[in-house]
Amino acid sequence: MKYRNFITIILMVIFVVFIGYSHGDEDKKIQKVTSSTINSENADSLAEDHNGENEEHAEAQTEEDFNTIRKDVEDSATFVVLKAVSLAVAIIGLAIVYLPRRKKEDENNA
Amino acid sequence: MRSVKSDQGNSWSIKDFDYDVPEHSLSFGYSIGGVTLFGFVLLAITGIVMALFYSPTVDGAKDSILNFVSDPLGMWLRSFHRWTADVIVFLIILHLSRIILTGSYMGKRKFNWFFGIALLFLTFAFFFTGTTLKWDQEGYEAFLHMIEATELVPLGGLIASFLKGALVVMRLFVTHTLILPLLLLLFLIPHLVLMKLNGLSPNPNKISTKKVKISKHLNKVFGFSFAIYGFVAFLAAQFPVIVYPGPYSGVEMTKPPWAFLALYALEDKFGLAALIISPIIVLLGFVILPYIDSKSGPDSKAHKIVVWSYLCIVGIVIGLIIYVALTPPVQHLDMNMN
Repeated sequence: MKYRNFITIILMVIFVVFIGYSHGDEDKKIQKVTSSTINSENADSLAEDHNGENEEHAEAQTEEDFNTIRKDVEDSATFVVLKAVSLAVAIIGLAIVYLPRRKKEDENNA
Repeated sequence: MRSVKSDQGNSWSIKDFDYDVPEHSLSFGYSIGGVTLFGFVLLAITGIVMALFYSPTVDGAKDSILNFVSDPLGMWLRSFHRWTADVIVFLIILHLSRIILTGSYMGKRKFNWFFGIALLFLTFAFFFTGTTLKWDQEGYEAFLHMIEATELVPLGGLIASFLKGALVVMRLFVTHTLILPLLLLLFLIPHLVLMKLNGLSPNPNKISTKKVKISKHLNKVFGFSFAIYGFVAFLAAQFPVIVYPGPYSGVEMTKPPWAFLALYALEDKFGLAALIISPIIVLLGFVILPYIDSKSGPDSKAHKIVVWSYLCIVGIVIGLIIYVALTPPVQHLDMNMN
């Protein structure tokens, strides 16, 4: 059948997926992403292209940004939990209404 | 009533489009698709306005958004766009749930089910590309996950290398505002046409012969839409959405939006390949569903097994979302674009 061919192709893709797998470079350098760093073959050299004062300021800014991100991520947890619980409640509501059960003929049909 | 002349000279009016639909079309469960479509129209309108102020460049994207939201109206509009996107994902999952619960993928509606699945995946693609367009820490990390996952697929390296580079934000912007909307129309139009041709799916729990006019159904859809998106407008004013600082490479400190958190949990457990394999498994499950549960009807044991399996999977997914929300972010990637 046609759909069997489709499933076979999909399964082949799943197995071949791992062929391209490679681990990333473990030595990670933290730096701001800009058009210069994104174009550069050697981004590390660009990141180090600062005088001492600028570098100190950049480090302080980075630390401040990281603290903001950490706080925002932490604050978002409550909303995410509420969204997930709301979705669960809504699906339970639909299930109560539409879960398959014995047919009921309406008054006009009876 | 306005009327037009057809080629054959017979006059027909707008009233002729007001065809009969089953009475249960007035219920919320059978109006969710329409309410979702209404939300997409709102997203298109607010998206066009925001695009007028957006700079699709690596250096300019986030700044143009910050500039836009410095005005209270801009802040509200962007928040409304984002909250509406959240609600659409929420509603489309409810729509999917109603279809599965009532077995509306069976028989002649099988083909339309496939269009619906394509629309479901497109909705998630919209949500994902929208997240990356902010080009803040969250957007950048989401983008890198996509790039590294794409590189796992054969020939994916070519696609990934095309997406990387100085034009990355422009390419994401074109995908979000042009390619995906065109694909959406490509699948939405046959979805609506087939719905008209096949008729509204029956409610297996209540067989009724009563009919109402489609205009009455549309009135209900508009009513539900105004109530829901009115509340979304309130949420947007009360809880404006944020833009993270950054982006910084070499560090992974955010988590994806809630709709992708179950994938994030699987990535924690099984590695980056889970981002490719899990959606394929879900897609496969949806594709074979009408074949394993079709002829027996919505009252059958097979359908009950499908429904309870679906509810169990949904329960696990929601459990994973909550688990990831409550645990600290995990570093998965190399996090360098070069």
